[in-house]
Parts: sequence; C-alpha cells; structure tokens
Amino acid sequence: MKKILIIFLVPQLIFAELVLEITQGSDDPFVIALLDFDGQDEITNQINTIVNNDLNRTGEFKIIKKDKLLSSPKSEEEINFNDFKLLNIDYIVIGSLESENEFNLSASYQIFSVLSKKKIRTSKVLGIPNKIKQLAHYISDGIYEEITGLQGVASTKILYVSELKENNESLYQLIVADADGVNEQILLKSFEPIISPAWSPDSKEVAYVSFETGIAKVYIQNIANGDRRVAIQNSKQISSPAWSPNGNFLSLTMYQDGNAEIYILNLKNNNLTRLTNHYSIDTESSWSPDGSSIMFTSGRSGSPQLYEINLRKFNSKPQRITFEGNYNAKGSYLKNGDGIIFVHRSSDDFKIALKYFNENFIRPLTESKLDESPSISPNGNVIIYAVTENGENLLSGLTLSGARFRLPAKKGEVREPAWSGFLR
Amino acid sequence: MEIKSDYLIASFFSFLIHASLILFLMDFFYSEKQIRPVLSKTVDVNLIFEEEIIKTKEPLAVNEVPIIKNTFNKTIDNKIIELSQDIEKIGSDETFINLNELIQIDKAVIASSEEKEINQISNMIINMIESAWVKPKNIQEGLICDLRLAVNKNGRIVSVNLIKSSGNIRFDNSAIKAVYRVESFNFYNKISSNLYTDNFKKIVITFNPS
Repeated sequence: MKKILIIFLVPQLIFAELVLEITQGSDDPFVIALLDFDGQDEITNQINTIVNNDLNRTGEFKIIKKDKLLSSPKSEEEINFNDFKLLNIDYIVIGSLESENEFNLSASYQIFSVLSKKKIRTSKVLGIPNKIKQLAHYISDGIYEEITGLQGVASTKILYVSELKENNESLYQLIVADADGVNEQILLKSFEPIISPAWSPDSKEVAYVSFETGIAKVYIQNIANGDRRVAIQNSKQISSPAWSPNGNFLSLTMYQDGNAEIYILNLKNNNLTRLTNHYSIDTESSWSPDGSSIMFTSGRSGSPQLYEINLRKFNSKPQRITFEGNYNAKGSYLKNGDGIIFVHRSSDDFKIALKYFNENFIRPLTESKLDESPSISPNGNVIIYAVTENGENLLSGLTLSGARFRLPAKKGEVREPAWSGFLR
Repeated sequence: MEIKSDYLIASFFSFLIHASLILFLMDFFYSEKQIRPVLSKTVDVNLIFEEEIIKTKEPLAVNEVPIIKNTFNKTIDNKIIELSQDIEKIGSDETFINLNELIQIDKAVIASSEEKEINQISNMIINMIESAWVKPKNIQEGLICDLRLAVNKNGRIVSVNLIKSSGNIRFDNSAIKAVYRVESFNFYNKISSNLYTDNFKKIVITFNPS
C-alpha cells in the first residue's frame, strides 16, 4: 500500500482546481439487477437465460438473482431506487417482449442507473421467432455497451476446426458458431486436414488451408452463400493465412524453399512477395491493427520467439519483441495495438500471456497446462483459446477483466478458434 | 448583328459572374478576416487567470486599507504643516514597520493553517475515493486519467467529468465508478465557506496507480 501524492495543492497556481491522485484499488464488477423479461414464458425464459449467460461471460458484471432483490419492478414507475441501493446495485435492467405475433418479435429494454436514479437507455430490438438467440445476444450487447462503454461481442461469431475420429479415419469440419459456442454451422467437411481458419476484416469471408485435393490449397470462402475460390496452392505445405486489415493482402507461411518463410499474397493481382529469409522457421504471421507491421514466430534465436517486421520502412529487419522464457509463439495484436497476446511456456506449461509494448514483463493469463491458438474478440477484451484437458481439446475463454468461461463441449477435438469482427 | 451583341452581353455577364466567383474564392469580399484570430485568442483560458488574480489580491487590500485610514485620521487631527512631517515620521516609524511585519506574520500563520486544513481535507477526499476505487485487472502500467468533480456545499458530488482520458476505457470507467460510489463527502460541512469556494468547489482527481 503506497502513500498518495498530492499535486497542485496551492490555490495560487494557474489552475484554481485542486488535483488529487488515486493510486490504489482492487477488483470488482458492475453490480446489476437483471429483471426477467415480461411476456410469453417460453420465449422470455430463453431470453432471460441467454442474456444472463452473455453478461456473465463478459466478466464485467455481477448479476443479482431475482430472489435476492427487495422488489422486482416491471416498469419505470414501480422502481424504488432505495431497494436497489441497499444491495449496492449499480444498474437495473427491465425488459419486455412486445409484439408477439407469429412472424415478428420485438423486445424492448430499459437500463436505469441506481446512483443517478435515472433511466440511461431505452432500446428496442426487432427479430423473428426462430432467431430468439440472436435477439437475446443483441440485448446483451446493448446492455454491455451502455454500462461499460465497450462494444459487446455476444452477437459475433467464432470459427474453428473440429476433428472427429471414426474407425481409422478422421473427419475434419470447419465450423462457424455464435460467440457462446452454440448455433453451429458447418462450412466444410473433409477427410483430409483443414487448418488455420482466419476471418476477413469485414467478417464476410474466411480463409483456410485445406488438403482435400491432396495438396495444400488456401481457400477463401464466403460465409453467406458458401462460394469459395482458391487463393493460392502449392505442392509443398502452406499454413496460417492472415488477412491484412484492409483486406487486400494475405500473409502466409510457405515451405517452398525447404523451410518455413512468411510470404505476402496480393489478393488483387495474385503477386506473391517473400517477407522473411532465414534458414530457421518463420511462421504464424499476424498483422498489426494499422497494417504497418507483421508479427511472426521465428526460431532464429534458437528458440521460438516473436518478431516484428515494419512494412512501412524500406529494407527493415525483423525486431525481436519477446525475451521472456524460451518459448513465445502464435502472437496476435491487441485491437488498439498496445500489446500482444501469445502462447508462452513457463516451466512445462503452455499458457496464454499478454505483453504490453510499454512494459518489460509479460502477464500470464491462464493457469492450465496446454493452451494454444489464442484469438482476440473484436472489442479487445476477451480471448478465446484451445485447451487440452485430460487428453481432450476444448475451447475456453477469458476476459482481461478476469472472468473465465468454457464453451460447450463438442464431439471430437476442437482447435484453432478464430474470432470474427463485429457483425452488426 | 443582334445575335452577336447578345453574345457579347452574355459573355460579359459570364465574365462578371466568374470574376466575382474567383474573387470570392480569393477572399476578396471577406472583410472580417482580421477579426477571426483575435476572436480565437480571447477564447483562451485567460478567464481563469483573471478570477485568480482578483481572489489573491482581495485579502491584501482588506488588510491594508484600514491601516492607511488610521494613519490619516491621526494626521488630520494635527495641523496641516505637521501633516507632511507626520507622514514622514510614520513612514519611518518603527511601530508601523512592526505592524506591517505583524500583519505578514499573521498572514503566514493563516496561510499555513489554511494549507494544513487543505492538506487534511485533501487526504480525506483521497482516502474516500481510494477505498471506493477498484483498479481493473490486466491493464497496462502508466495509465493516468483526470476527473473534474463539482461538489456542492454539503459535500454532494454534483457532476463528474472526464477531462483527460487514459486511453483505456476500462480504466476511465473504474475511476468514474469510484467517484459515483463515493457520492458525497460527509466532512464538507466543516469546511469554511472561503476555503470551499477557493479550493473544494471544483476539484480535479488524478488516478495514477504506481
């Protein structure tokens, strides 16, 4: 516990205002009372559950259960703010399902701040009955956004590869699902490996490497209509395509020189440019949010470490950016470019770690044994990764604010999750 | 011939329109141009300076005026000729110098006790906000944000404004949340009204974890 410094105390200074400095704090979430949505039970029950789960998963909220509340108002007039203040609740959410005919649903919700005793948001979400999940995700995102100021990711999607072992064969599937892991849709099925799925910046297309024809081919597939085209193919291995932020380039790892090197493919004219040239492995490239540099994993120092290469500087050399431990790989940039997320080995455990560029240490984020392939949510606050537990692969998530969650278990192994951008 | 003259008139008007357009674009008709920089200058923070200067001068004036009056009252009772001598005397008088010194010592005492009080109250404010502040996890080091609070005489926080963002919304949120949580400073009723208006009506809080 450090003492606090006071600056600008003397009133005769230029600024009349007193400036005080705060240096301590612990961790705790927004406390919200999430009242049940009013309306048809079968639908509202679903909405209540999904919104509750979505908000819990963000790690930013502590939701007070209905039975712990002193009152459960159904409208603005019925709210007695003191009932909520006594329980230290910060926000109240009240909602109802409005037009409930066969084809249309509309849910409206209101958020009240207990501290200012005011309504801070009224929103209406329109949907159709068989898309109740989407409707609920939109509501969650609205609540999240209003209270935290960050855009919500409940209505975004994740992409991953699953491998099902049947008899002596493996069935590979490329699957896209809602951010909570449900509502899966299969984009591709193959008995040959599918690897390295990646979203295009506008989240309308995905790129992946498929060996269905026997050789490595990078496909770009439209999510909405399933159309796909071959971006590049090679008799040698290709892996980890990554889209540039403007969507015009694809960086790839290619093995045509005998060892792995990073190449950049221009999607407009199919020109291929080699980016790295080293006798050790260079792989797993990713683009900085402004597109000015590419980070990749390289073994040039003897152990896998992350390097960054500036694309805007002529003849620039890769700069090493991780120095902690003897294994740092599969890096991706935080959305604001402040730092990176990567896989770090400490003793024999592979953990997801965070490093800010202005800090000279790393922050391990997970405690499990075998974590891999971290992917960052578009709001930069959640990381999804593959984890191996008891020989099984599954998808797990964590938020920077400290919450952890697990996506529903799948049949077979799941790996290489990739988080889409905002879809709204 | 008629067609030609029409043509001439038309081209003349066309010339006029184009010329005026070009002149307009060259700011030919813009006479207020010189006023603008002056306007933008006066919008500066100077207002605050002025207020401050008046405030700091006020106590000096109040202290000095009665003393001068007293000396004059004395001299007026005496003869006019003696007046100038008197003034000279008083000017070099030890008692007057002592008085001046005394006033200054007095002021210093007042100032130091005031400073002490400001310190005390500041510490109380810091402690209250600090105990309400929850620093978010996994934020980078070196984030600093400034909030401006307006507090009324009863200690209730009337408004909170983020005047300098840290660039990290989670960090800014946590600071705002802390202040909202505090809601009011219960010790404000003990603050004298001078001290309140000078120092504690509007305060800036810097959140700077180190």
